[in-house]
Amino acid sequence: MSAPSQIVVPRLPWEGGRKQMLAALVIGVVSLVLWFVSMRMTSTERAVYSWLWALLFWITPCLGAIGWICAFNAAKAKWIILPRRTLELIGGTVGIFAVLFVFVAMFMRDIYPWMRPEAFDEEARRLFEHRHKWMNQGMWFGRAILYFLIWIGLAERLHRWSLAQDTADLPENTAKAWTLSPAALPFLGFAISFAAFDWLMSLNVTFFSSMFGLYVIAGCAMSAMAVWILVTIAVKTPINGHHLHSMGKLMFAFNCFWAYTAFCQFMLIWIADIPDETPWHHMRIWSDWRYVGYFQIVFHFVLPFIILLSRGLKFDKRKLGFMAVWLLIAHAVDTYWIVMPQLTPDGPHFGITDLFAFLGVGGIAIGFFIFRMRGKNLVPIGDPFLPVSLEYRP
Amino acid sequence: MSEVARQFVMAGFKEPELMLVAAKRMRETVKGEVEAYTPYPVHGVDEALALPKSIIPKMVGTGALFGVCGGYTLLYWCSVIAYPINVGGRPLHSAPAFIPITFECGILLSALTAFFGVLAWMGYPRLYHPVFESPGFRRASIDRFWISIELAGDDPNKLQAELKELGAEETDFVTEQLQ
Repeated sequence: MSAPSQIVVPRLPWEGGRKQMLAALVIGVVSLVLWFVSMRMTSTERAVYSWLWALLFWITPCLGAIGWICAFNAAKAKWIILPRRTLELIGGTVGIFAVLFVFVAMFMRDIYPWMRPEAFDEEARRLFEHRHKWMNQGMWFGRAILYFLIWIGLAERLHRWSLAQDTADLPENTAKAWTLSPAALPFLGFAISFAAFDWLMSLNVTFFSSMFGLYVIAGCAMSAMAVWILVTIAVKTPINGHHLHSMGKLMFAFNCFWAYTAFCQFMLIWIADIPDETPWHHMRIWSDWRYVGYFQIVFHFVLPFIILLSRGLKFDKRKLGFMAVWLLIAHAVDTYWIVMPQLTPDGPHFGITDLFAFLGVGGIAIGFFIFRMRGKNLVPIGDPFLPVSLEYRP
Repeated sequence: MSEVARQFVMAGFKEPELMLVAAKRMRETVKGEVEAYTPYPVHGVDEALALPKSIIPKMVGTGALFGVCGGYTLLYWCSVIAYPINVGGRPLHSAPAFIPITFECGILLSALTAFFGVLAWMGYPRLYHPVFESPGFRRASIDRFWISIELAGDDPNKLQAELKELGAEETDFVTEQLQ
């Protein structure tokens, strides 16, 4: 039988990461200022598109993390308890995005075509009019607030229940989380889907796809797992190889799921070939964007699929960490491919606004994330099932 | 079937931990091959018996590769060579339409390889094994953890005594029944 657990659980709050936090915040704020400057130098539209892309890339792991916690709780999974606190905190970072989202809301007139129907032909105007009851500024704002309320409320509620267990004997909090999570999952899923419709799909007048919400959710789940793996390794949570293996398996599985949704969306639209549905993909295939598509097929699916099949690799922190970084880069390309073709339909044109928006959102989000990690136990030492997680061996 | 009847010393344990210790000791000290039989998968058997890495994943991977290539080739042959039909003006060789079937063929062949591969690896269609000669062995599927040691020049009586010392509930000495 396996030897008794030799894992030493850190009992003290985590106090590291001060330098990283300050560096991230400085980079974030400086980039934010430079983004504003670059907006004046290029165009507002371009800069806000970049910001939307950066927001999408950085918020997806947070939304995915909330989804993962809920899904794990719904299954009453006990193995995740040892590294769970960092996942809660990744989900909790969604709060800062409510602030960063203000820049999209401020300049929404510059990017959303339904905000300025006068600039379009009659067919498009009829569509705008048809959708006006749902797609108008007031409703759009109201829904955005609702999404953030659901996300922040859920992430904070679960995090605080777990946090309270660190200092007091509260085993009932685990039961509460197990009850709330499955009930909250549908709301979370709908909130992410509808946010994808509101913020991304509505960039294009003529895009109809019932798969799109799921496509974004697949990206959320995959990127959240990748970020969680990296954070768990970075803060040296005392997980064993089987924890890492399971996390790697989930990242692998949801990368395949991403490929599945992406392909299904494309294949169904391609095979039906209805003029109403095709423009979104047409724009991405019959232009230089196709090379971005090829890049994704190879580097977002085929190569990671073959590499991540290996069992041994998923037990190795360095190799799995490398694959997590790889998939996050692929995810950045994927989100760029979702947002940007609407701005430059002839092909990808990287601009300085992309860089500043990416670093601005990322720096501030990472800084906020580390800020919230500091002073907390990164292992939920009060969870009644922590010993089960320490012995995890599937 | 081999000419010489194989002989086995067997030991049944009440606890999986004892079985693992005994299996490890036997593997290190005895020349013959050690095998374990348990009612449910016991963690640590692989290490105790120093089993090599399973080749099933490689077999399944190969099966999947054949399935993918075969499926795509079949589709190509059907739609381009044998029955070239124009469907909605699409090119005859339309990869997006081929991928679902290709994927399914990959799944099918890997599943079949896994299923039959495991059966073959377990020794089917052979249904007889000398360890079945031991009357207590049927409890291997209920509540007893068995190991067997194929004799290769060791003294069976000495082995049985040693296994009793290691905590075996019962030991046995069986000889293969040749037709």
